Amino acid sequence: MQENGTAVAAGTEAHKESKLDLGEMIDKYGNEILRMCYLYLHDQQLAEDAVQETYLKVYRNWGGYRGEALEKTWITRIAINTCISMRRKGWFREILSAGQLEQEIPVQDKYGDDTVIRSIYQLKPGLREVVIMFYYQQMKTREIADCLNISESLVSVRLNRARKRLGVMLEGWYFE
Amino acid sequence: MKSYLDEKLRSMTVSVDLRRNIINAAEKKQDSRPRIFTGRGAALAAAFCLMAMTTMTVFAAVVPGVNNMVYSFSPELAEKLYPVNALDEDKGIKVSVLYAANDSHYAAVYFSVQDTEMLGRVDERLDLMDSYQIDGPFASGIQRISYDKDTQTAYFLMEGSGAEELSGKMNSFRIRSIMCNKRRFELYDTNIDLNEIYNKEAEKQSLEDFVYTGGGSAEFAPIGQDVLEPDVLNISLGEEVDFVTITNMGFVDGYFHIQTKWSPSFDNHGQLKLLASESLPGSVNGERAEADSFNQSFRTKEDEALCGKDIFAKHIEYIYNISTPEELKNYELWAELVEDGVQIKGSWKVDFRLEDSESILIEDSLEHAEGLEVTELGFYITGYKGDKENCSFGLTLKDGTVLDILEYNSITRSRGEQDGVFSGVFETPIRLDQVSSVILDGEKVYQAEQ
Repeated sequence: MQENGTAVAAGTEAHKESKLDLGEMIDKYGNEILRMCYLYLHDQQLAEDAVQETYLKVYRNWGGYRGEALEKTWITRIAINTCISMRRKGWFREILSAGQLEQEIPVQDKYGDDTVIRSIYQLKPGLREVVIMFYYQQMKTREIADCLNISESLVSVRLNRARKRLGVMLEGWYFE
Repeated sequence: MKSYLDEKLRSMTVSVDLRRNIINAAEKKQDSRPRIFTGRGAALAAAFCLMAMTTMTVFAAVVPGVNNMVYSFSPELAEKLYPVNALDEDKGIKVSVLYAANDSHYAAVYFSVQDTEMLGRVDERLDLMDSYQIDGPFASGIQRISYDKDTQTAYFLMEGSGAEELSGKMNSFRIRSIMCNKRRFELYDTNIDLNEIYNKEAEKQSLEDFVYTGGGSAEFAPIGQDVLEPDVLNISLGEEVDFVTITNMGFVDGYFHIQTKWSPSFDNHGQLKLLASESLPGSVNGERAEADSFNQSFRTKEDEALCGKDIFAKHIEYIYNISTPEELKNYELWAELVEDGVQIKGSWKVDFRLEDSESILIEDSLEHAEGLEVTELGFYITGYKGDKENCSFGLTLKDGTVLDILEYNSITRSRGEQDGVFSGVFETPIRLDQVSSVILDGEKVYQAEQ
């Protein structure tokens, strides 16, 4: 493999001539994927772990990608499923273990008022990913349905529930 | 929203280090990024909480209602500022919240009441006397579900509709008094000769002459039947029964009535049943036919004068689908009664939050449904296309135990359908990390990772 991450993809005849430039893929979508993972996991360290995991899966499965979905949609699907998997495996419980609040490290809040970000994070999983994909990744319901392997109507139902929930959470912020 | 979020997160970018680590990991080089949580993230989380603490501490401590808001972004901080009090003890009676969860469809709180002094004050008929009160967004009913005599502990279930906004919110549950040692008279033969003593000239009165307090109805007669003239007779229901007497008995509008008068109490109650005589054909193996009946409760002026706080006097009239004296000869009067016990007044207050239940979401591999959600509390099927009466749902646990809905009471307490969601509530909460697989209509639709 060359220094910039070019790799020859294994795989089907359809992709015989297709090469994955991993570095280019990271440059193209990396920031958006990272921010999306952060919105889901609400922790930068975990989000970076999720991004690394995502791109490794992209690299391993490039041969199986047949271009049915847009590249961005395909990577988003992998990233969201990676985040869901991380959450289910209890990585959060490790993070929220005792002792964190004991650290006396004064720091500025990097992102200013992150009420909206927090509110998205507080959405129940199931709602969180559809909100992130719809509003942040600006995907259509059909694409979200494909990503999550659910029906379009279920996507719509979840979006409605999420909007209601966000409406309640974001009404009258405590800073007002 | 996208541009807003991108602006907020503009400093969050894939660093050079991260980029290199990803590429190196793909090449399986040694310096690939360790995929574990490191101290940097902890520092960030801790710092946010500390910053919040310095600005919110006094405010949250002074205004308890702020607690829920603080909890919304930092449960740990909320616990430090306003700790949840999940148990309370007064007069040697301890109330403890054991489990509280919400899965957005259904919410359940299990709590216990224990006599820590082992004086027999908590028994299997412990009554909370409707003295409890729940403050908070969670509205529910309470039922007693089991009793452990070894520890003198009664277990209760508080349940109600779930909703996403309930999770994490503080609720307070208060009890002011309990009643124990209620006396129960199991079904017994009163040995009253109905045909001998019923009032053959019984007069009736309109129920509207009294304060009607409730009752049932039956297919054979409408609600609101006239009642017997009150307090004409005074017939005992047994030597040890001094809290209720028969005050009239006779036929009204083609049905047989037995009127009873109950002395003031919190909750003395019971049933009078007309059971077919043993000599009747068909009455074999101890199984006797029972006359259809319903009852109506009302208060006379005297009853009203005797009522007080938590004390009620009443008349209850039992009406039977027996229309002639000849028919009456075939029946015997049996009773089962419950008399008030000892009331213990106290002050018990516990606080709890409904934890957001874990869930397993299944949307792939479903032949008969659009989606299936399994939570700690139950299962919820959306777009179910199968036969709801014969829906087969089961869980296999990691220890090999199989829980199958077809054995109705083995897994669910109730099933129902609302807004297109077919659901079942588990008999007791289930630990999802112990679930090995989920089976719907004979097909395995979920297998846990090993």
